[in-house]
Amino acid sequence: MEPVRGFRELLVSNPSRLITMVETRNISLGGLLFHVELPAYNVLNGYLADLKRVLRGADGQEDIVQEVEYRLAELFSEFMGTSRTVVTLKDVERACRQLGEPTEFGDPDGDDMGQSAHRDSHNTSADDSSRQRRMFRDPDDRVIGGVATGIAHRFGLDPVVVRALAVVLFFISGPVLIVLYGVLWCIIPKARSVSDRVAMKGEPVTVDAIKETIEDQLHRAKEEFENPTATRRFRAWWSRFIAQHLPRFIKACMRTLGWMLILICVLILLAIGGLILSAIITGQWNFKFMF
Amino acid sequence: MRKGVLELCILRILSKGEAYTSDIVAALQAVDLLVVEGTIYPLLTRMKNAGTLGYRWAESPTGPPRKYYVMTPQGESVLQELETAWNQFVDSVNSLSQTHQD
Repeated sequence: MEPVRGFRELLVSNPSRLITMVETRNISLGGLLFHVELPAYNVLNGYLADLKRVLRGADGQEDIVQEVEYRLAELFSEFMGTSRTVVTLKDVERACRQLGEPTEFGDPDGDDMGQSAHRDSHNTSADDSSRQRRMFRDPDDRVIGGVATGIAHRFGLDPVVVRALAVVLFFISGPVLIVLYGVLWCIIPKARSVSDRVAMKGEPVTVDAIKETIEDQLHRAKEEFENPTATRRFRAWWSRFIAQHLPRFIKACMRTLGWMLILICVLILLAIGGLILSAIITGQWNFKFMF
Repeated sequence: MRKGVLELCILRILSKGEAYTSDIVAALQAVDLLVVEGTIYPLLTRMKNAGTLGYRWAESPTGPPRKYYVMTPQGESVLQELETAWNQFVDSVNSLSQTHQD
């Protein structure tokens, strides 16, 4: 009986220790290999993507990103010491906090101005609804491609309403909606970075808004692997399935369509060529054979 | 303002000899001049591109390779300029404080 009690105590005192299996990604950072737990990898990826976005066009952007990657590698090695081999969400969170939000990588002189501008926008939050939202597909809340959620965010609706409308429209219009959905899926960009997500929800892209969104994502990721309920597990499986298999299928479809179009074009060209050739040979335009 | 002051501080740290990024960050944080590290990286890159700083890579026994920064001769003259400007600034503020205290 003793070992069982010990196990229980361990469970109560430190539940996170008992996660038995978490998927990891291997990344190379600063020339070192790191195994990063998947939720942590997602956050890290978003952080670096945002950093590149903020620094786009800045002087020496590549140098800065390189510098940050080396620093991250150093911090991770430092946090893990010699006893651990995997980078967790906590490590990433801690490192990102220490480095600061991507928006803080700007000009130190411009920083203060950004802060005060942010404070102003906070005071006039009454006109939040009129602020331009940008259309993005929401990868965090999607059934197929996140198109419905994207539309809902754009127009300030509940995603469920948009989805219900889509189902109704599907029964009325049938395949037209499927084609339309595919087109929208291709046209509307996916919200990749944290600032995309913030812009999608119509909030001004400020340090606080970004911080909130990052915390929200961290919370989601944590929830997902600390309490994997059946629904959550299904959602995770479903979104993985969508991410991995559907785009490939759609790509294949589009390729087939593309090849068919090219084939049709070639046939039309051949027909025209034949017409011209016959006109040259016979000396007169003869379209009779076409009818 | 802050950019100039940070630049001066970085140059002062490097005037004692080469230092790698984390050393610089730690030195600045120790005296509360740097809240988040983020601001330092663009600055270092800009100073490097301006020719004020040079660097070399060195292997590290525990972590990733380290980028050691050194001050170039041009950096030394920048440091002197910045120090004069800083001293003048401090003098001005001090004398203003004194004349307006009484």
